[in-house]
Amino acid sequence: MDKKDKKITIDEQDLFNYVFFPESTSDELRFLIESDNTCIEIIEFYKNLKSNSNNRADDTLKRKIASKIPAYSLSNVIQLYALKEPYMPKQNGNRLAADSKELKPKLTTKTFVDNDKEYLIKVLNYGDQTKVFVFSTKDEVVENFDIIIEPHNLKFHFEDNSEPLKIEKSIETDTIELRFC
Amino acid sequence: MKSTYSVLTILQSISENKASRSEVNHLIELSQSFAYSYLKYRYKNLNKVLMAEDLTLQELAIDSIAPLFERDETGLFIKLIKAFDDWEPKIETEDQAIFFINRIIAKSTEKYVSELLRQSDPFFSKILDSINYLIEKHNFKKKLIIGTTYIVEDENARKIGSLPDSKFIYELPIELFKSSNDMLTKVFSYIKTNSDRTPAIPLNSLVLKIKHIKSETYYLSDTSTNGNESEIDSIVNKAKVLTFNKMRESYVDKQKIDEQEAEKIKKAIENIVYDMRDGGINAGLHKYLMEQIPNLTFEDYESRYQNIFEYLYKILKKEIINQFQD
Repeated sequence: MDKKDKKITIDEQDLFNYVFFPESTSDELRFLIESDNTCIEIIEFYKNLKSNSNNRADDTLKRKIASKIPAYSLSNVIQLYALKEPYMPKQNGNRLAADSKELKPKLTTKTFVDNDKEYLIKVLNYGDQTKVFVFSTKDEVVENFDIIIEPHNLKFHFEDNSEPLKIEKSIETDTIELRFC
Repeated sequence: MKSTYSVLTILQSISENKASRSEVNHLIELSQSFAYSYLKYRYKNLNKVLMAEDLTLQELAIDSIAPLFERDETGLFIKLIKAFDDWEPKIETEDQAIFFINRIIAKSTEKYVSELLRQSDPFFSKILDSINYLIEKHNFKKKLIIGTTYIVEDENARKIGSLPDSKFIYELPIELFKSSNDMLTKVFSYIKTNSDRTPAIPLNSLVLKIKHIKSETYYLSDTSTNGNESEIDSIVNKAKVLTFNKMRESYVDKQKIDEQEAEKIKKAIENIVYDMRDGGINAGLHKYLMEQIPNLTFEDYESRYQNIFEYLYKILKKEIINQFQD
């Protein structure tokens, strides 16, 4: 908004920004707002608006919101499903003699995502070890959660997702559940 | 804002249908808290409907924002996306994004409150219609400022200044309202010459002021005044008689309810009428009847009385609206 006019007019957005984003209000406008008694009531209202918006919704309120707004998801349990791995045809049908000598266990990977594509889990199975990596698709740190691996209902706790889970055996994974604590 | 979320990013994600569950939740929680503040601080003195005991302000705040978060069959938040795309100037910064949310929540809350007042109070509804007619007739405009609809002469005026509140409107001299045709002009003129307030009339407060005058005085309508009754008294008394007659014809004479039950329903309707005159009825209609029948459970109310009681309430409202003279 251009405030270079000779006569500056204080509008609704100026007062909103003065309260919510004081750093973006110019000195001149700030002076004008602070010396105008007619703005006091509206500033007071916006201060209340800001203060209330900083309060976190408690569980009761969250439940009420979820009961009235279907888009609001209350669940702290997220189900992840295996993505279909792309079909990788073998280069040819011939096996080289050297192949049969390979002793190193074969690496298989499986990727899991939730319906909202908010989380992604990679399960790397090395044959004698399994690593489980948890990612947020928004690059957020995922904290304080359990993962439950089905079909054998294996449960592991994570403080955060900075390190993968390491399991010293090969495990079967059909679905994975994330449970936030 | 202490939140780690960016409202701008969330709005952009919603626009592209890529928003995550936690982002949508965050935006809904922020919107609900804004709506709560509007209800609490901007409408607190407006009407006791907002303070109805079985609906808290927190719940009313949720109801008021719910339409904004409706999705179409593909999961798109169509109303929110349209408002975001149509907003001028284009939203490009976090400051603009939060101001945008504030404005659309203010609008949504104002709309919700008006609907609530209309539903709970047939007088309010009828007076509001006639004021809207006057606004159009005299080429005034309606403008939403800080969550309240004001009648203004110039909708492009940017300066806010000190806006008249409901108390100011309530205390306006009764003489300004003698002639309904030029009452708005007179109120504007009064504000300009007798106060340092911005010439803007809060619409809902004006409606309540007129309703108050109509319930206290006799001269606004010569046609419906009867003896010492005010216009509103006269209307509600006629509507009550018609409603009670209907109850007798349709239920008592046909032995669907007995005399004792009819008496309880009558008392409940008397209380509804009292609240209507006093500002608006409680959102939980069933409570009026349950008050009269202390042992009545809600399940029994639903199975035995709900249809009868709601039907009679509809008749009452219809009769009031039919008789109400502008």
